[in-house]
This record gives sequence, C-alpha cells and structure tokens, in this order.
Amino acid sequence: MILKKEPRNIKIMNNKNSLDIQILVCMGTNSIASGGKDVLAEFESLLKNDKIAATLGKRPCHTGRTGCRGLCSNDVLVDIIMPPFGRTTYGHVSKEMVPKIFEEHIINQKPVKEWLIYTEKEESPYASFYNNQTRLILEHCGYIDPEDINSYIKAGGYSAFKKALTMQPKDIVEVIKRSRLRGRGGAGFPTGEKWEITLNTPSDQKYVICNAEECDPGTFKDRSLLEGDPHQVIEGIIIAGFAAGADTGFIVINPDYNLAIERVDKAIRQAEEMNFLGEKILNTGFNFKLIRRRGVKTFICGKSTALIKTLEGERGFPELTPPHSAEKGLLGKPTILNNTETFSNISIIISKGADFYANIGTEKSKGTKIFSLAGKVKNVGLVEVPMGTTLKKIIYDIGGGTIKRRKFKAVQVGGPLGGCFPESMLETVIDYEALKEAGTTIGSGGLVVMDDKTCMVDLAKHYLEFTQEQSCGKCATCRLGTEVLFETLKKITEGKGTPEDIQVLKTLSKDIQDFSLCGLGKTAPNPVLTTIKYFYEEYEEHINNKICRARTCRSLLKFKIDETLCRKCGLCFKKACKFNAIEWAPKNSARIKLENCVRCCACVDICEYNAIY
Amino acid sequence: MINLTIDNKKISVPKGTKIIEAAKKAGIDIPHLCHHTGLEPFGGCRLCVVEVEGTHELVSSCVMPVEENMVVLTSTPRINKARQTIIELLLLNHPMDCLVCERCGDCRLQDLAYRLKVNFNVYKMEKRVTPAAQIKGIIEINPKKCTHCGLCVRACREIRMVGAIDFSYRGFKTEVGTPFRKSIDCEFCGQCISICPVAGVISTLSKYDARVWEIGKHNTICPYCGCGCSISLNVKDHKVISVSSREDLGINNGNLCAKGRFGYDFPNSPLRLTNPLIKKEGILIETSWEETIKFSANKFREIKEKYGPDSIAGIISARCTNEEVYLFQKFMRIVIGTNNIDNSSRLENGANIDILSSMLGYPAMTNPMNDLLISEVIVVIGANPVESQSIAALKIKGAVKRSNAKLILIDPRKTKLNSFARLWLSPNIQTDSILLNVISKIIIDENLHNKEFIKENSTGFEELRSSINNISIKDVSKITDIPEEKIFEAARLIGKSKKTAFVYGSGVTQQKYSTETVKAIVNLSLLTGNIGKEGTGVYPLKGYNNSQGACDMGALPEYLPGYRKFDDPAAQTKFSSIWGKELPKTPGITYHQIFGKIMEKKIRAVYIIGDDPIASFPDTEFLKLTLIKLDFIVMNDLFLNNTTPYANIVFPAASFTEKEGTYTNMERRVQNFKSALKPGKNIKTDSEIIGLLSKELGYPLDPSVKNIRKEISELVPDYQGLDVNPFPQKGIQWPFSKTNTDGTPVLYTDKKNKFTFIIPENLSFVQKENTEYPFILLSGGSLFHSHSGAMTRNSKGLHEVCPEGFVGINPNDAENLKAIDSELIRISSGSGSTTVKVHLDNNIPRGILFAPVHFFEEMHINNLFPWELNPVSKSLINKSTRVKIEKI
Repeated sequence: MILKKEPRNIKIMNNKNSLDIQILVCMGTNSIASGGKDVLAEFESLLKNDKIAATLGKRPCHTGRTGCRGLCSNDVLVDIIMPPFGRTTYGHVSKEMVPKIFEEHIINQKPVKEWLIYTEKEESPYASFYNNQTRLILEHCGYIDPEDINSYIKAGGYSAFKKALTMQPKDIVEVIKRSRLRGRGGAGFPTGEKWEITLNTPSDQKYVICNAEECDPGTFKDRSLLEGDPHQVIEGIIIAGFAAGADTGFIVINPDYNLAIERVDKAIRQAEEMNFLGEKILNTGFNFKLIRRRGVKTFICGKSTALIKTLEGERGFPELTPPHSAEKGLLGKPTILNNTETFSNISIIISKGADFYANIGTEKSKGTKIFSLAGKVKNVGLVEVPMGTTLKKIIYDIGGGTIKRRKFKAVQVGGPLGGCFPESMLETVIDYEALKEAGTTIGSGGLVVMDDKTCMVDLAKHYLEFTQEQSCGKCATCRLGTEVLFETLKKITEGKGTPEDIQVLKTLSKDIQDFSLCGLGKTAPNPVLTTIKYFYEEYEEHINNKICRARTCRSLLKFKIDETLCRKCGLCFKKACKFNAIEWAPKNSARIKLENCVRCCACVDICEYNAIY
Repeated sequence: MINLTIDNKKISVPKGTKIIEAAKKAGIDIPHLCHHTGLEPFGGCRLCVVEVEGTHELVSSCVMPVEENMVVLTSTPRINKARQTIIELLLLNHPMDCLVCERCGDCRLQDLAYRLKVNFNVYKMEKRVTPAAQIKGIIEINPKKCTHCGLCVRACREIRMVGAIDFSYRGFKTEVGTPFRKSIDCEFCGQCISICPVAGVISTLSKYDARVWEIGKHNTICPYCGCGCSISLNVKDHKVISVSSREDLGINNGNLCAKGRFGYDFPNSPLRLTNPLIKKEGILIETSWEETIKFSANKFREIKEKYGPDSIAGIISARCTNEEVYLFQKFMRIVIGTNNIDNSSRLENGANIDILSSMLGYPAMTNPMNDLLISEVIVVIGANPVESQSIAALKIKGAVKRSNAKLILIDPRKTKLNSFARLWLSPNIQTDSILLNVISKIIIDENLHNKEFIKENSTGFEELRSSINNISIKDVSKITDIPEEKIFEAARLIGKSKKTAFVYGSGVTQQKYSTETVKAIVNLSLLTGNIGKEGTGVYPLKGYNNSQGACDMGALPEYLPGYRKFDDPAAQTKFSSIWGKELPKTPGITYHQIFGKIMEKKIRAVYIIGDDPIASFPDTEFLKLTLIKLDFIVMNDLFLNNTTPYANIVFPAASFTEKEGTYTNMERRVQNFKSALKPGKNIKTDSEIIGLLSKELGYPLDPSVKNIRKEISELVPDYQGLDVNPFPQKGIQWPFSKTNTDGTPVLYTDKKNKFTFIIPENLSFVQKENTEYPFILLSGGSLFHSHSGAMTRNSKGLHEVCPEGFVGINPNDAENLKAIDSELIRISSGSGSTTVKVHLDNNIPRGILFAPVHFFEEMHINNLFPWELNPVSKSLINKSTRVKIEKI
C-alpha cells in the first residue's frame, strides 16, 4: 500500500478560508516515481514530532495526497495552503527539502522563495500554465484525495448521480444530447445519440463499458483522470448505466496502469459501501454492478468493437459497423462504450446543465478537451482547454513555448495517427471538423511539440513503426501497407531513397486510407501525408542531397562542419568528443578529424546550431 | 425483397442479403479472399469493397447488407487500382513458388492476381524467413503463403466450435497457427485445409502427389461411423490421393472428422490381400479362385449334410453395403438353410433392436440428426460423439452455441462436449438406468409429464408409474454418487422443455444393463411426449457406417429383411415365393452366441465377412479355443487380421472404393455410392464372392446390384423404390416407397401410433465396494481410430497422429501408483491381465481408467473383460469392468 489505511479528509474545497494548514502532495504515477511517497512520509513524520506539534498549537495541520495536477515536468509538486499566503506550490521537491520547507514556511511563516514555483499573487510559468486553462474535468485533480470518496462527495461528487436518479432515462439522454458532448475517444461520435440508440434498443441485458486502455505513446489523460479523480469517471458510468437501463458496467484499464487500477478498485469498493453501486442503489430499484478489468494493452482496442472482442476473450479485431456496439455490442447486447474522458464529462453536464456545457467550445465541438502536452515544450503536462482554443495558445501560453527558445518546427496533434503541422498552421483551433480538415484527428489528445532538432521524415518513420506494430493484422492494407510505408521511410532516412519513393508513399497512403476497415488503418498514413504536405523539402533533401537538416538520420551524417552555421562556441570540442576527433581553438570553427572519429554522434547532439552534418 | 442496382443491373434480393451475394446473383463476381457464406462476415481482405452511390467511403460488400434503391459499382478505376495494390502487397512476402506449389491451378490468390492483372514492381520489400509449422506432421501451416483471410480460424471456431487455431502476434508479424505451434485442442478434422483459398494450410500426406487437374473426383459415402458423411475421393492413377467434401452435398455440409479426412489410404495399402488364400499344412497360401470356391462349397455341403444346416453360422460386417448384406442373409437362409446369420453391429446395436421395436415400432433413430439443431434440451447418455460420431457432435454443439439449447451430459468421463454442457451428471458405472428412472419419477411427481400425449399415444403408463413410484431419490443419489439437486435440475430441465432429444451411444448399449437403460431412455422420452415431433426423439448413435442397414436387411437371426419375424407365416410365404425356396424354421443364434455353441459342438463352420472377432471380443483365450474347434472357417477381408490365422479359406474382398451400393446411416438415410477405383485383378466384391459360392452350391444368387435392389424393393416395404434410377443424391430416409420418394425424416408423426411403456426390471442396484479390484476400466473409441483399427491403422495419416494406445488415468491415481506419463503398468481383472502404457488425463475421474479399443495387438484390453452375454439382447458386454492396477 502506498499510504496509510485511514486517509484524512481534505476540506479545502469547501472552506478555503479556514485556518487549517493543508499540505498536498501530488501522488500521480510520475510523482511517485520522482519520490512523492518519501516526501509525504517526511511531512507526516515531521507533523508527528512533538516539538513541532507544540509550535503549531491548536491549528490543525493536514497532509494529503492528490492526483496529478498536470504539470508533471515539475514533480514532486507540493501545495501548502495556509493563511496568509493562500495557495503556494513548490516544485521539484525532494525528501531532503522537506524539513526546510516545513521549518521556514509553516513554522516561521516565511516561504522558501527559491523553491516556490507558484504563489497566488505573482506571475510565473506555472501560473500561466494554470491560468490559461479551463479546468472543468480536471477541476478536482490536484485538490481532492483520490482514494477517499468523502473527499469527492465534499467537492460536490455524486450529486449529479442523485439528480439523475430523479430524472427519466430519456430525459438524461436528452440532456446529454443537448449538451452536444462528443466522444473523446477520437472519432467524436455524439455521445447523446449513442446513448439514445442503446436506450431505444430493446434487450434483456445491456452493458456500459468504459475504455481506459489508452495505449497511445505519450498520452496519459485517462490515467491521470483515474488516478486523480476516479469517482468522477465512475459517477459518469453509473449515470450512463441508469440512462440506458444497463445493470453491469466494465471499466477496462491499461494493464500497466497499476496505480490507476488500485485507485479504481478502491473507489469501486467505496462506492459500493456508500450504495452508489450494487443492489437497489440509494433505495431506488436501480441495480448496477461495475467490474474492473485489465485490458490487453493494444492500441487497436481504442476501436470499440475490438475492445469488446477482447472482453469476450477473443483476439482484439475490429468489426465492421453497422451494427454499432450501441446496438449490438458485448455478447451481442446493446452496449454504451465510451472513453474515460467522455464519462468524466457526464456528471458536470448533469449537475451544471446542458446549456452551460453547450456554451463552451465551437459550433460543432462543445466542452473542454484534455491534451497531453509533450515534446520539446517547457511545461510538459496535462492541459485542459475549451474547444476552439488555438494550437498556438496551448503551445505558447500554456506550454510556455519551446525549450531553450529553440525554433519551433512542428506540432503533432492526435497521437500516433495524427498529423504534423508547421508554424503556419498554429492558428488551427481544437475542433473535430477543423482538425479533420487539416489532416488529422483529435485522437486521444496527444500534442507533441517539435523543434528544429527533429527530422520530419524520421518522425513519420517512427510513427509508422508504432502503427505497424499495433496493426491488428486483419486488413491486408493496414497490415502490409504500413509495413511498406515504414520500410520506404526507413530507406529514405538511410539515404537510399529514390525520387519515386515519395509517389509510392503518397499513393499507397491513399489506398490504405481508402481500403482499411477501421480508424487505425484509415488514419495511420496521416503522419506520412502531413509531413509530405508541409515538410516536402525535407523529403527532397533526404532523397536528393542525402542531408538531414535536423541531423537525426544518422546514416546521412558525413561528420563535417557547416562553417556558415558554426558559431565557434567549441561545445563539441569541450563537452562532447571523447575521442580526440575535434580540433577547435577559440574564435575558430571546429574541424573534425575523421580518422579519429568513431561516429558516436555526441558532437551532433550537443551542437545547438545543427552545424555538424 | 429489396431492389437495388449493381453495375447497372437491376436485381431484387431478400432483406439482409450482403451486397457480395446479391452481386453473385446478378452474375457479378466481386473479388474476395475472406468471404464465405457459412461464416460470420469478417471484412479483412478488403478486396470486396465497392462504391455505393451517396457514400464517400468505400463499403465492404461482404459485410454490408443491401438497402432499398442502393446503387452499387463493383469495379471502378479507384477500386480496381487499390485491388491491384492489395494483391501486390499480399505477394510481397510470398515465395512465388507456384511451380511447385500444392495449390497451383486451384489457388484464389493466383486467380485474382491474374484476373486483376497485377504487376509486381511498384512496391518492394525484403522477404522474411518464416518457417512452416506442422501439426503432428500431417497439417502444414505456411505463414508465407497465408493471406490472413482468417477462413481457417473462423471455420475452426464457428463451424467446428473447437478454436484450435487463431491469429497470433500483431502487425506484419501476424501469423495464423496453433498456440505455441503445438497441436493443443486440434481435432484434425482438416476443415482448415479444405477452406484455405491458397496453400496456407495443406495436408502433408498428399503433398507432391497430384496436380489439381490430374485429379478425378468421386463422390462416395464415408466408410467409418454411422453419420454417413458424403466424401469426395480425389483419385489419380487408381489411387486415392486425398479426401475432400462438398458443402452442397450430404448431411455433413462439407464437414468431416479426422477419420473421414485422413483415413483414406487403406485401400491402397500394400498389405491388401490380392489372391484367395487356402490353408495347407497349417499355412495360408495363395491360390486360385476356382480352387478356393470349389473347396469352400464342398466343405459347406459336406458339413450341412453331416450336421444339418444349423451347424453353420454366417457373420457379415456392418460396413458391407445393403445389397451385400441382403445377398448374404439370403445365402445363409436359403443356400445354407439356417437362421444363424448376424452382423457385427450386434455389440453396439443389440440392445436397440428388441427394445426400440417393442416400445416404439422401429429399431432406429426417430429423427434426423439435423433435428438436434432445433432441440431445446439435449440429453447425451454414455456417448462421446465428438470422437466417435463427429458430425452428430457438431449438431449438438451447434444447437448449444447457436440456439442456446441446454445440454445435459450423463457420462462418468469428461468428454469434449463438457465445455458445452449445462449440466454434467457423472453416475457410477451401471447406474445410469436407475438414474434415468428416477428422473422419470421426479417428472411424474412434479406433474411435468405430457398427459395428453401419454393418453392418446401410449399404453402401460400406469404400470410404469407404480413401478418407479417407490424409488427413493435419496438412495439413487447415493448409488449414483450424484447430488440430489443435480438430479432434480436435470429432471426439471427435461420436464419443462418442449423439445428434448435423447442421444445415446455405446456407453449405454455395450453395458451390462444395456437393455434396461435403453428402456429407461424410451420411457422418459415417451412420458415427456418427445416422440414423433421435430426437434425431439431418441438418437441411438452407431459406430459402423451401415449398422442400421445391416439390421434392416435382415442380417439378424430373429428377423427377415424389413424386421419381419423369421417365423411369421405370412412373411415366410412372401419371401419363399420370391426366393423360390422354403425358409428355415428353426430360430437362429446371435453372433455372440456362436462361440458358446461351438463349445457345445452345435456349430461346425463359420463364414465371416469383414470382421475380426478376436480383436473385438472379450476373453481372447476362450475365443481362440473355440475357433480351433471349428471344422471350417471362411473369411472375406481386405487384410489378414487376428482371426484369419484360424481360417481355412480367406477371400480377398473389395473395399468401399471398389464397389457400388447403398449404405443406410444411423438416421435411416439410404445413400447411394459408386465405385471410384477398379479393384485388383484377383479381388472380388463380397457380392461376387457370395454369388460364386452360391452357384457352386447349386442355387445361383445374382450378385448384380440392380437386381438385388429390385428384390429388396419388392420385399422390404420401407425400402420400396430402392431401385429408382438415378437414386436421389442426398439419399432418402426410410420408410420410403414408390409414392413417398421424399422418405420420412421424422418417424411416428401420425397420431395412430400406440407406444408401449415397459416397466424396468432391475431396480435394486447395490453397489458393492470391491477392494480387490478398486478401479473401473472403461473402453471406448478414439478420434483417430475405428473399431479394431483394420482401416484406420492402415491409414498413414491417422497412424502418424495416433500411433499407439494409452490407458488414461487420473493424475492423482497415477501419483498414488507413482506412475508417470507413458510408463508401463499392469492392469488385471478377474478375467485376465495386460501391460499397457498410461496417459495422465485430467478429464478422467478418480477411480476410473479409460482404454481405447483399437490396439488389440499391443494392449490386449479385451483380455480384461469376462465372457458375459446380456440375457435379453444376447450381446456381449465390453464397456466396463473392475480392475486393479500395479506398477511394473
């Protein structure tokens, strides 16, 4: 177990002006990996210290764990909430720093300035990271204790479910329909309509399935939701069950998400104890059982039919629709299958109303969307923005721009099946239709920022390698076509490309998109097509000049210095080369002695100016 | 009906038809690899996509049902180009060895590449090395040639309901195969081979044997079990290369079992007899037909004159054709002049003949096997159809999977049906009749019996009620070792169901109380009204392909053809008027009684056609003793077997591939087949041999199939019209007549039938603990062999998969004995002992051993059974006996 059995209540949501001292330690997977457990234990042991207890007098002091608040690059994050400072945040906290923070901030009331990354009054990157977001789904993440149902209830949790219980199922569906929520799994099917189909399909048995397989590399929104606010997801599932007339739900979690699984299990147990789950829920006639399953960790299971197959114990092959799973799903019964994030929206829509929700976002895409911001961006983490936000705002205002102020090159939107966009496309807004037009999908909400050290051909190759490995093998086009795409790209990055290869890539991509059965095949060529469209010159350079401008394609390196780019800083000579292969004198360009060079590429990597080619 | 336009052709098809099928109707063949009408849509090969007006995305025609006013284009430049791309992609890692490929000329990929004019130089890829995998050496899976169409995977799961193969790995590495490349779960039905559109799955047995265009296909009927599947023999140069089956033909819809698919090469075995043999100075030597026929006829005449006709007995195999059986019984009855005529199905069929005919009317399966598919509850008693009557098992599995029928199994051993069963009752040995009787009692007690049916159609119900009324459920639960609630559950399932089918096999009919159990089954089916309706009925399973026909044709001591009592004066008159000779008046004896009579010196000569009593019957030593005492033994056979050393004359007989005739399968379906091969120069069919003998004996019988059929048609009312030409390809279920050429699928549908309840005789089963022989040995069939193994063990493929026999034992019992897998142990019973290898098997309950019966020479399981006859059916008991085991 990570923490003590009896969690303490955290009351900040209700009484922000309380005199209580709150110490909130982030306990997401990242944070635990960075030593969060030790930090919390240190705070707790200090609190137990008699002397300190005496100093604090009667002021209650709570420690608590919270889920991920998004800015994972600064873990371990510790919030201390106490008057007169209000909320303050420390970043990169380690166990050793705890006594000092405790001594100065809590006892002597002097925050440790040099470690602070956020206060309520000052501007900071952390502040801009937060203040530019609209945290609706993630509202509780980072505030409540994910392992305590009471913490969620105090924050208003399960009131939506109680409200839903007083409504008619068809009215609930109507509310969801009016909110115009669309599925957050990627395809953006209107959730209300899906529920309506299930509600109106007569059957003796119906199911609800929550898809938390989340196998996209670099995406961690579902994990964070389940780790930080599991009850919100569960509440959404139960409401769906009530609305559709289902009595059994499944939540299928990526088997690697151990912490999420642990917290969901705990949450289900607590919800059962409080009779939000089980028989005759809250003295109504409604019965609902929620079963947590470990998934099979395949990317294809983002497709509802494939996930259902794996739940039935078969290979995760997507099936052709119709019939939709809403009509004929698990074991042939009508099944509501939604993404974790979709379910997180439900309680908000029910309690705040469809109009509130429908007011957020663009004409066709409503509400907020969570993105996993990653890559060469300063604030790596989970961000939530309203639909209609521009990519630019996310990358620069929230993400803080590129690391080391390097030149922004591209952003990859929508996970491995998404497209890559150059700077000129940054005004594109987050919206299902707008992104489709631009050549990508909203997908699972991955946003990877790339600077000029990323080669676009290599990037496309990298994504194709992933989709090829994840192709379920059912369709000939996807199984074989992606392999040919991958091999062609590999050939190009190795300098063996021919001018015809680009045509091959283009036509084959088109055929794969046209002829594949499921979304994976239909979108797998996106990275290829968008990089060819927006970064055509890089392909040409690779094929014709055998040069990779990002210096990533190792086979193309000739280990020469481009004097026009070299700023004569000597970093390659001083810090990189261990083989005495670089000659450099101050104010002179470096020179590589090829006879000594072992082609380890350390100099290429360290050069800020891409001067070694 | 839905109207739509495909490629400018207007067509209307029923609702729910897939576009690809509709196009086929319009004469348009949409290219495809993964589509198959008998399987769920898959949509994997992507070749069949079409353009539908109004939708931008391409549509899979094998998945999408037609819609009103749909306009479909099946071949546009956009589609054609991509189809070429797909074929080219499929061929990227293909070895392109069409010149030496098994399926060259019969390969859908080859055809499509040609038809779509694929060129091979747009895409390139380095070829990967993926070695072929073999399943037990007879099925080869070649990943390089696999198109990943999934037909084999889906056929294995959806049609066979086995699931032995599946896709593994992902992406380009996706591969079809068995788990870990082992043969786990595989039943060797070969469905994967027959459904594969390319050479992805092939049989290694026929590899490099023949090109598809060199093969001649001959449709015939499978020679193994009672299912009577239609098979096609693929023949090249007078040799059977392989067996396939046609989906549109026969009761099996293209399905076969391991025996049917791979047990085909015994007719070509080098061990086949090629010349008549005569015993001289104790040794069988080859000689001429003239000599042997003359010698035999003289010998028969001599013995008949000296000891009377009843000193001669005739046995015919239940694998012989109806015509041969008819001719042989006629030979015995009028040429020899005795009723001592029986067939080899006595062992499995003995209990059925008397009980079924006296209770219902006909000693036969009441309904066709397909009726199982519409049953609500299926009760399977003492049978393992998955291994012994595979196609019947498919119907049972299909009923469970597709229409949610509830399956109740009554068997001490766990079989492959268990995973489909709702309820498994595992009664102690020989207690199944009392169990069934108590189920009847519960049904009557709970008022679930069909009073109307009983009143209108039966007699003797009250007697039955009072005879079983006093059985104590508690006692039965104790005797059978089945919890009371399970017995109640079974009774209620049967009682509440509207359509219940009762299936039973040799586990019932070869037991000590076989007649009692059959009685109990029929009583139960009558009192629940499950006779004479579709989806109900009594289904005795048969192990020989012509068990039913052999009995129908009068190879029974007590019955003339058509189940006319031998002493029925009217029948005697009728038969003698046609046969032109008086019929014998004295009662005959059964197959199993012969040996006792030999000891009494009542039988002096035996004529055995196609059977091997030594390998089949208990107490081998006793049998040998009797055979030595005989004056004269004549045998017809394909091979030398365990009994031939005792014979004076052995005639080389033709196999099923070399003759024509009809077989009657266990659902009464009479099926016609023609010869596929020419027999060897000196090999004759059984009819011809009988014809020669009869001629020599002065009463020539005509061996021509045509004339025999004419005679049968005249004499056997249920076979009237057997001589129609051509005989219907799908066969006819008797009773049929010249006016009723469709036959009678379901018996007793007319309400005139009066069925008879018969009260059980033996209700006091007291199980005694036997400390000296604590184990119970069960014997039975296996998936790969049939009866004494004469055919299957001479088939290369089956021998390869299952070369030797093991005695199955529960691992816990083995542990107590400190025996490990494949170790030799000694099994002894009151009758004898033998040494066998053991196989640890979790499906066998503790205290039970299971032995296959096909390995006489190696296992000598027969030695363990006592020579004991059922008093009613006069048939032997070789299903279970008490034994002890010890380590050597």
